[in-house]
Amino acid sequence: MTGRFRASVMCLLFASCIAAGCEKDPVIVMKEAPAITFRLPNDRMFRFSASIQVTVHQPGADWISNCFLLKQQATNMSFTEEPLLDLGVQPICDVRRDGLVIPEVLPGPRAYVVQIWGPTDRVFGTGCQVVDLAQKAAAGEETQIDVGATPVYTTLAGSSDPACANEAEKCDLELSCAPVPVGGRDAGTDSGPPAGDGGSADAGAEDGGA
Amino acid sequence: MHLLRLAHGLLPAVAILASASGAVAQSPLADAERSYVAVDFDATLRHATRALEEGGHPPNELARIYELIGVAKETLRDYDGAKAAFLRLLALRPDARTHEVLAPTARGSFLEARGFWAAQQERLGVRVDISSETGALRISLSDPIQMARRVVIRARAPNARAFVQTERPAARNMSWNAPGLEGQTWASYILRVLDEHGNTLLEIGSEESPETVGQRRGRGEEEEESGSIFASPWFWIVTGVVVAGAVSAILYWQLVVEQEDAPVQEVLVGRVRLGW
Repeated sequence: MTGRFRASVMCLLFASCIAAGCEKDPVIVMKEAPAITFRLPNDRMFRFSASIQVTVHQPGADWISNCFLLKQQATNMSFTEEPLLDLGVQPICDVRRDGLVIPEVLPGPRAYVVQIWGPTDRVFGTGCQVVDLAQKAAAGEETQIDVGATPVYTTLAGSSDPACANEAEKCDLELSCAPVPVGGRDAGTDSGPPAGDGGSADAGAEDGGA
Repeated sequence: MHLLRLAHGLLPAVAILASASGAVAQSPLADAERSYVAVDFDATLRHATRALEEGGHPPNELARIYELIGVAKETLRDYDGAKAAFLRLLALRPDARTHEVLAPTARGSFLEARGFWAAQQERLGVRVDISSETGALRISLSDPIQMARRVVIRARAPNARAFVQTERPAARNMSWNAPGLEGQTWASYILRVLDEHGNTLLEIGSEESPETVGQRRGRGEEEEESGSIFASPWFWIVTGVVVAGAVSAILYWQLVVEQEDAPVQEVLVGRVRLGW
């Protein structure tokens, strides 16, 4: 490489740097979409539960059957395809108090799936709905996704009550919510949707039920 | 239940690995993969440990061995052993996402290991440079969890056909006056860092594509430059001043002048709530 050639390269690089510097950097503005609310059948399931896991999946062509399958997989604790986004297993009291942030909303319709975990690694509830959050944000609409009880939970709730009486005892006082025989303290009912029925009023995108 | 849960989560990954392992059937690693598919964690641990001890595995296979050992030990409730294996896995494959196939309560050791690495300033790595005065190769090894035992270096001077080789105990800083590299400013090299069983932790360069270190400078070029404008300190001083001025102007332009009409990029964040 000759000195003249090297000088030419340096001048070119210098000019490129100046040109690149003149490009405007975008100003990034964080905008919060309207919330997604996962609705448990009642506060009794909340008291029995320990943690919550929200995952976002690529929906297939048939949204309804897709959500049905996702909820089956959520109940069986294993997704056949890797989620696009996994918000991790979070303590249920934390999520109830502070919510959970989705760091970046993926554009287009996505399947939002929730698993409600019991204290011993059993899935107590699942919910799913295909939603285009960006579109919802533009329309200012909130999303509600019903959580249905799994057979495991139904069996448990039929034979026992949570030891704690309410949300405050569970989350603020951190009292035990371990199951006690039916007839103990209870503040709720189990009249929520059955397992697999996580539909909502959202147009056509919700799960069709199990 | 615990075992079933693990098996459910791991089956897709295991199926891929099991089919890939067809080429090395009957090897301890293949046996470990088969035991894993059969949800036999005692056998998985036994075969994976044998694979580890037989040595000779490249980094990707070694990472898989530690992953199998970690998951098996976690399942068998040897949490310290699981964490040690996961620490090694993450040293070799920092982006490992093993926790995604483990049940929530079985993720503790993996997440602890990940937390350990997140708090570290250094990772497993090696840097090689060459002394411009003596031509000695200087190797700096970073090994926070002391996995490395030996370092094998092969080096070749410019225009030389054959490599010369040395093997020495792993140390943080090593220096090698390779025969034929005296006074050289650059060289080709191949480097492997081995563990106590002879498995490869790090591999830089290969016979076909060795890595280079130093700057290639021809003798004629050096002579030409000594009489050119680039040899003058004034050239570099003036260039420095001009570049600094340009950078300042660009920064001023970007930070002050263009802020008002810069394009706005929206990032949409979502929020999940829980109710009933």
